[in-house]
Amino acid sequence: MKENVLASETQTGAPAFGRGRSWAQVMERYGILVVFMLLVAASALLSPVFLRPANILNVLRQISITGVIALGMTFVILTAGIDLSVGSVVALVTVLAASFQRLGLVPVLLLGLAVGSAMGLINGVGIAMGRISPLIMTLAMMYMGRGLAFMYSGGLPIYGIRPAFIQFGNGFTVGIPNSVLYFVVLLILSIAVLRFTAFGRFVLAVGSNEEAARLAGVRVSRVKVQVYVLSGLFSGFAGLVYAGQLGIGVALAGLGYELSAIAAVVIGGTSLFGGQGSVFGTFLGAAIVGVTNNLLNLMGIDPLVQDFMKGLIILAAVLINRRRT
Amino acid sequence: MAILELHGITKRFPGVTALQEISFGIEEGEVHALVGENGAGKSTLVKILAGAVRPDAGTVLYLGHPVAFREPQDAIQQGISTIHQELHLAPHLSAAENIFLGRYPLTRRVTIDWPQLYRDAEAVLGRLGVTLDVRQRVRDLSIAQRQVIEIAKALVHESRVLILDEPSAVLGRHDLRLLFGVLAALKAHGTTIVYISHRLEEVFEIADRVTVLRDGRRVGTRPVQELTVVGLVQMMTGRSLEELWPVRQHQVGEVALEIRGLSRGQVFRDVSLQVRSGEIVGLAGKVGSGRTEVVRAIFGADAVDAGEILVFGRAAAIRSPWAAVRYGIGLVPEDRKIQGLLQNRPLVENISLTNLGRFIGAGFLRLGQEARAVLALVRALNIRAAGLGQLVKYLSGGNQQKAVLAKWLNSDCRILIFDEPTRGIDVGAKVEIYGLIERLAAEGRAILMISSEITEILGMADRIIVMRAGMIAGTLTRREATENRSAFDALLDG
Amino acid sequence: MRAVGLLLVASLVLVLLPGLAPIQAQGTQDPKALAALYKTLPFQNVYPLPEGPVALGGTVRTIKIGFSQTGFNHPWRIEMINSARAEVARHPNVQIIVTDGKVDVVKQSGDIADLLAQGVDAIVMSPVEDAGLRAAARKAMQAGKPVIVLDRDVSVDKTLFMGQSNVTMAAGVASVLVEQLKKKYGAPRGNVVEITGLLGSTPAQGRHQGFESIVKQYPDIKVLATGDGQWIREPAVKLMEDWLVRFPKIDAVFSHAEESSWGAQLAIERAGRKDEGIMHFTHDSSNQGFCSVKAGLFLADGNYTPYLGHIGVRAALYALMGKELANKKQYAYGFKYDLPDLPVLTKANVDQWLGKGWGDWDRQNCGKYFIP
Repeated sequence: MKENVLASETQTGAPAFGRGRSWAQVMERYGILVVFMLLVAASALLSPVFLRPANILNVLRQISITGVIALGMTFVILTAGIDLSVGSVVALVTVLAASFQRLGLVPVLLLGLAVGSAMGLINGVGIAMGRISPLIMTLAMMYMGRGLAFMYSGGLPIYGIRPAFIQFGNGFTVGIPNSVLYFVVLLILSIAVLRFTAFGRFVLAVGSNEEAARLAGVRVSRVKVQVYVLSGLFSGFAGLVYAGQLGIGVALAGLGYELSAIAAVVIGGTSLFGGQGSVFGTFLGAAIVGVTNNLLNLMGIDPLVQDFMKGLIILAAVLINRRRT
Repeated sequence: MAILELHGITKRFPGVTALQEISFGIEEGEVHALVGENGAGKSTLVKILAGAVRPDAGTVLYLGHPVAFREPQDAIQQGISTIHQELHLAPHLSAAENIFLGRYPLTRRVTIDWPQLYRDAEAVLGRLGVTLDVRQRVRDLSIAQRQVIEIAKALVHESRVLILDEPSAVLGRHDLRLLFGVLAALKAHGTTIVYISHRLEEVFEIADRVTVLRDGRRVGTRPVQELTVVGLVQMMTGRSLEELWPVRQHQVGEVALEIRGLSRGQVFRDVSLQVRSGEIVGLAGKVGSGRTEVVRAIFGADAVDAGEILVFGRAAAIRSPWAAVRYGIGLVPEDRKIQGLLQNRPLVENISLTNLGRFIGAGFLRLGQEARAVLALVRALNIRAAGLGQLVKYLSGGNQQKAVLAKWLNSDCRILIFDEPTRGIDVGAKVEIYGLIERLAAEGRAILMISSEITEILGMADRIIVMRAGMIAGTLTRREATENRSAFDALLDG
Repeated sequence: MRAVGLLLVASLVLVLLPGLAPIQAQGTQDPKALAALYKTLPFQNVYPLPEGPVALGGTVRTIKIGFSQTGFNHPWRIEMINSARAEVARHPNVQIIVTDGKVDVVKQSGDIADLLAQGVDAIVMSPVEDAGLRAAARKAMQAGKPVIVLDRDVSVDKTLFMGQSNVTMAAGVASVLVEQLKKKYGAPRGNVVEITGLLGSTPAQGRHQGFESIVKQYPDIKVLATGDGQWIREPAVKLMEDWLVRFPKIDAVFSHAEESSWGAQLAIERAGRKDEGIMHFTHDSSNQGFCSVKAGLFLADGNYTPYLGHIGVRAALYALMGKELANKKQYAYGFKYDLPDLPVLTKANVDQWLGKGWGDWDRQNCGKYFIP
């Protein structure tokens, strides 16, 4: 520790970035991947149909909606925040998307994204400038959003989603379900944003140590507002896909999605205290939950037992992937 | 005779030997000062004497008998009490209750005899020469008064040895008088006092003998009359003063930073000062004098009620650290852990954070470019790390401080503010930091430096601005301060 | 800061803008809509009451009826409220106060206490759960108010309980399923999957029981799997997707709810297995569901009507007027009135029922093959 390790790197001329990661970090990064691989291997052994392409696509499609939400949630949690309103954003957006079908595909998509971002903006401003705790602010938004969805729909499902919209949510492109494509594109985009943009660095900095980030010239409030807008935007998009996929707008849509998304993020190794974690981890977290659900159905586990098993597998995943630092 | 004798005390922690073969004796009834730089091993030694840590080797003789304390309670029962920097008082209980915690006088063994409790508490404080309302809750007392309550507790426990771990670190000058009065009273009662400090002036004032530790070893034990400040510094640092301070090369230029009439509520009022390019200005003052608050305000970290900030002669609207950074100001804050660094992020991210813009092309970070630039800074500042990806929390204090400095070199700031730049780092790293500060000034940067270590201010600064009670008490050149220490002290104390 | 403020205002407007859509959280209150609804309601002959003011002991005064609903979270619950409002709308001196129990025992208990405090003359309630609401119902009875319990029972003395049987209704649907399998194979055999309502809820338990009581009699009918569809569409899609991978041959889907059936059909279409002719048997009796029956998407739809509110209101008024509640039966917890099972909807009788189910429907496409 005492001698200057950098000196050796000087000679090779290679930048030191990416090197010298501690063993704990390496395990932290790959631990969840190991868990995922184990689960996939176990699933393949337990169910002969698990590895069929149709089933893999099923799993991907099943995680795509909550997965997209979890991507946005990752940024929020990385700033040591939380967004409980995501499920309500989904509900409100499905209801609005279904009731404004007459406007045409693109306007409805824009409306959904705008409403999602607007709810995120209100969350962000309340948290960053109003100094309301994220838990309380987004909890309030969770009730308000679902309340609005109930008010607009009268509690009834709204049908009449048009074919173009169904195609958007439920169609296929080159044999792959659209929702899976959206998820993959947003996943890659999110990874790039977190790793290769200043915004990503600011998010990590704010989550790691808000005061130090502020004193390094990071505009903390702005970053916070941005992550909640991002989360709202992604949730809004998820709501649009939901409406297209299921062909309805309903105030009950997205019930419990906040917990699924948080679970994916946390299983993926992102710390609830912020500052540490990765978007790819979130993907693996979502995939672990998705594979678990799929496996339990494929094995014909009694629905009365499924919840218990699901909890057990999540606990096991987190324990195996335990932070070693 | 020696009340406490240490023989070959050795303590190792993973990767470091905190104490190596420490042997010396503490005479009954004396005030024995234990001094050393941060990391010299003082705290470990205190913990061993207090029974909180057990040595790997060596014995402690207490009243001639070897002792092995299993927990702090053992030490207290045998008559060795320790006053830590963090006091162990119940803030919502009264002073009297705290003094007699767990030993309340009872009426017929059932209820607490309150009048008796208060009388007893007053009597104990009387022996220490202190009068205060013992019915007051501890949370309403000043820090110094709370220390006295802790000492009074020790008295109730009939302690024969009282160890004080850097009690002055949290006190202002006036409060120090109160403490020294109490210690004198204790000494008169025959209590042995072990006094830990790194403030040399205090040592000369109250100690009978001094033991100096450096890098886990005992350098020597001397009667205080045989020592001088310079000699003591040399013992502590292992260097002569000439080695400690860098050679001055900086040239003072135009005014870089000017503050006019900065005020914030009761915290500070009408503060005006100038710092020139290539100049090192020391900001001295006691804790609570408002010096940290002033520099935070300059940096935009806290709001002000009134006043102007000018950067290179032009009015600067600084309402946030972000704005300050854009005006080319950097702040190396008081507390690295909480304010200076993202402990659980890699070194490279910490350093580049202040100015990510320079690495961005087409909206994305150029990681290679970033790594090269940061690596250059890491080398220039001689930061010892396993790699750029190493988490900052695994760096030593000195390297962390250099990392904070690297942040501001990355942003290429013209004005750098240091708040206690060498707190909690070892001598070697201190010397490096001093050298860096000198180099930054020589490059034409304006430096404003807060320090509680007067030697440090005297060693580094061209001018010294003294703050007292939220106002500027006066300005001295280095020569004035060095040659007329009493004038300097008068400014500090008022 | 100003920009943020403007954005914030814009957001609030954006979020609240769709409020231009009709707000009907507590069901419709429009008198014309209610009058139209009343005409379609079943059970009008149970405790009939002519239109006009209701006199108590010869005097006409304002009568307040408290309606404590389980929750406003499902259209079925909203329609029950609508039917109650439709009855109230016929009597100018009768008012109704509706409360939302949020599917929470504690909330609903509080609602009933609040209604009593507001001085209602009678309580009509549809409880979340039996045990948790006994105290509240008992308190209302002790206050001397008639207590009419709808749909799910509360085991305390009460004025009247009225409900339909999930068990016999599901058994009816299951019987149609058996018939259809017979038609297909010449004998009662085949592979069936079951999508239940929310796991643990009383109606899901009842429907499951009714289903089992029938299929158990036929050893060649195999129930391949049972999954929790939670009454809604989304979980059913996932279940069906997984089952389609797991089972090469499925003859029929027995679902506890129309939404879940449509979800299963979405999954089948998407898997490209629409042509296998997987049959669907379901429950809920919405008008849109009847359209699906007409189109052959559903071969049977259990007729579990939400339209109990008006009978509940009438029974309460009868009790207040001191009129005899005919055909009530005494049992361990006061009195009950067993509503007759409404006929299971099939293609044969769907035309006479269309419009008498609950909810709006797509009139243009009714009877065409599409998943709403």
